[in-house]
Amino acid sequence: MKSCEIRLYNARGLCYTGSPQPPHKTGEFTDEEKFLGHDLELPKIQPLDAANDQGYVKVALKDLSAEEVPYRVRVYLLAEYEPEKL
Amino acid sequence: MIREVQENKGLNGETEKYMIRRKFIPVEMVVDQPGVFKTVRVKLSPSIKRIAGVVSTFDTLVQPIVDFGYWFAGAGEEADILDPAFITDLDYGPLNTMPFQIDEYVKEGHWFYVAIPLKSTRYLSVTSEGIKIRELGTVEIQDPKADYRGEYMVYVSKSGPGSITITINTL
Repeated sequence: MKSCEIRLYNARGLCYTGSPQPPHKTGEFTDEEKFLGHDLELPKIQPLDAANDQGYVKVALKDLSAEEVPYRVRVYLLAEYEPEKL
Repeated sequence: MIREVQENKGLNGETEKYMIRRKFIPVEMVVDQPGVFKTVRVKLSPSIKRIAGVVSTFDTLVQPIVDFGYWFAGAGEEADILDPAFITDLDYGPLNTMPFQIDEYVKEGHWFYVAIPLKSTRYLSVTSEGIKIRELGTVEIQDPKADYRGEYMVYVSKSGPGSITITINTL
């Protein structure tokens, strides 16, 4: 199942490309699943080196005309803060 | 917010502990026509140092309810009339319940006409029992009472006498 291509650009250019996946789990969640977190419904995180040198990331979506419209794409950027010394 | 503690060992053997905080920034895009290219610029707060990962999911939205427009139907005293004024003078109503049926008795020397928006013929079928119908052609209708302007597909029956049951249904 491949409906579109997602690309992320930072100030220096393309830093990620991939296709969205259907959610692993939908519908009702057990208490344990809710406790463990919503990431259970998300596919694996792919590592990405995206330097934040301009303060923004551009998300580009290219439809490959393989899926019936309309559909919704959700992109979750895993933002990382400066490490804090303990 | 996701928190992780990392330990780094220095050259002098001391262990330094760091806490790394991460969070997901959601971006949502809806694709409503094929072949499009969409972009979104996501502003990052100054304290965010890098994007460590990305997850993208997609799901299919429920198809919007198609507005099928209005039907026109009635008898005519001539065959093969493709005249907008004739069509808009026939009985009419909204195509909002499926299947939709019309039962009529067609008198001798009369032909039964049905018209539905041309765009709706992609989603609807028009069939008949009794007297057979066929596609006649399209007419451009500019009729404010029908609250729809555009091309209509006109169907015409064979001549009466006889009963006809027209069924309009989703494909």
